[in-house]
Amino acid sequence: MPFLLKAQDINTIRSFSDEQFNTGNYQLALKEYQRVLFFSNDNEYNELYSKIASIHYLLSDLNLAIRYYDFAMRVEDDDSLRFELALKKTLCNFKQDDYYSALSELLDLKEPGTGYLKDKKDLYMGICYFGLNNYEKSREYFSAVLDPDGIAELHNLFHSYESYSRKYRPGKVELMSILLPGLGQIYTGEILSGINSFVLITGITIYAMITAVNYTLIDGLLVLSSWFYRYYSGGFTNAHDSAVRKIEKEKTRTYSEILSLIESRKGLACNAPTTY
Amino acid sequence: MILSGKKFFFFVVAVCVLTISSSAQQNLMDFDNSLKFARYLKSTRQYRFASEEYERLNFLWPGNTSVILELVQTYRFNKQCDKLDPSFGLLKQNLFRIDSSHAAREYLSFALTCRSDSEKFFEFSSLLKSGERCFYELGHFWVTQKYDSAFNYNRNNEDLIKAEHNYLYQLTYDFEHEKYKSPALGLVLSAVIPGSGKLYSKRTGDALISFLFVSTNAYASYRAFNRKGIKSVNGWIFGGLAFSFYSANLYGSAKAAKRYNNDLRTRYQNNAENYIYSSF
Repeated sequence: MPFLLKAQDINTIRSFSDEQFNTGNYQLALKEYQRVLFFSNDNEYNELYSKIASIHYLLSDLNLAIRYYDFAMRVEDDDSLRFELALKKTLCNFKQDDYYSALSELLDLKEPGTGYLKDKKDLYMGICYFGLNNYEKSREYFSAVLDPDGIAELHNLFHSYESYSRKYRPGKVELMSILLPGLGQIYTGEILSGINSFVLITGITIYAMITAVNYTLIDGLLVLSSWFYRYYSGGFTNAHDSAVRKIEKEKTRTYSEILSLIESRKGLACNAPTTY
Repeated sequence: MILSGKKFFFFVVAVCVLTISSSAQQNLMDFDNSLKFARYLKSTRQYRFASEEYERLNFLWPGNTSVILELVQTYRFNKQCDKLDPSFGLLKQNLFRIDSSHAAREYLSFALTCRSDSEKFFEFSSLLKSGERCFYELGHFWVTQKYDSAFNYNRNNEDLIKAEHNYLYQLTYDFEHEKYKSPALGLVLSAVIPGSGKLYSKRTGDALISFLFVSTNAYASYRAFNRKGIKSVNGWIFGGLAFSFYSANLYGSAKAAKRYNNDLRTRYQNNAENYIYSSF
């Protein structure tokens, strides 16, 4: 309150806001930076757009962060700084799982002047394509930032992930449960669910057959009618979902290993979310 | 006295420097600048920041009518219902300064936003002209879900409400005369024909499934008993299943009627609130 009671000019408020920002008091810094921008003339404090965007990013208000990064890019004259701002904006898109917007932003960028920025752009392009399940392109861009040893390691990671995805392809796992109830679930490691499905469907089928033999075919079909399809279709849908979950988990693990590899080999921290 | 060219140039430069330095030195925390900034925050929907700014203004320069009204308004926009009672005190304390109808409108809108059941509501509604007062008071009964009071109020003030808020009048009237589904009738219908109670509550899919489950199991049971007599295991199994589905369907039919009635009430409530909240 003492600060607010004294007469304040724009420079004092600017200093006060910086102090709040540096001590992590982001809400107050955000308000006071806006005051400075509101009362400033002749674009004197344009660098504050980027600071405001960073605060919104830190407060996880990603749509506002994107908007302010856009403002900051519009008023920034320096190409390298504009490039950095675009990358920060792309980070917000990553956090929102919006890989199409991130890719569109990156494709709009001119070729960067320095090797560091080019590496960073390639890394982000790789992340975009990985998020969009285009592994061929993703590998190409990740490879561009690594040395030959790193590329070999990267290829192993991709190869291992692709083999895993083929092994647990949801269509294949679903077909297994269509042919033999429970098999798909057991294959994906959901043993109990698989046994449950197998026992239930087999039980109903056997009971329906006994009924058909002892009575008539119509009686057997009546037994099956209300139960069989429900548990049968439920079983293979479960198997499909289980395979999808398994692949997603493996994808997250592979992604995290790729980022660690690039960070250790190249010292290039991407700051992107480490999980999907 | 006429200045020579060089002196004139220095004079202009000196004036410019003084002007720029005074604008950089201006007190951005004074009343006018703070109010401008508070309004900017309000217009950009940063209501929490705006209310802090208005609170500071009201603390340093108490009694300004625009500040008080705009402060309460930002509380309302930000749905800070814990500020409803302090707002009542603030407005009442300054009522001799503020146009009473403005103060009343602001408080009543805030109270409706917070669905407040406070008796203070009527203290402010009495300050309004009859047509407007009826809107706020009927709105109060709607948002606090006091439906009987709303129906009585609507009937007793029919002409006033119709004149300015015909939609709200008609909605309240229709709600009062709405035909509800009877859970007991739903249950009886399903007892006679399985699933028909759900059909009565307009749940066609559920009705069909219930009918199929009960009828196929009952028919399978009938065929089994018919073929092997009372000792038929299948007859008892399917009979048991048919009976459990039948009983569950009776319970489900009564529940479906209750759910139908609840959905209907929710629909009326939402329509009324949409109208009320879009009217201020």
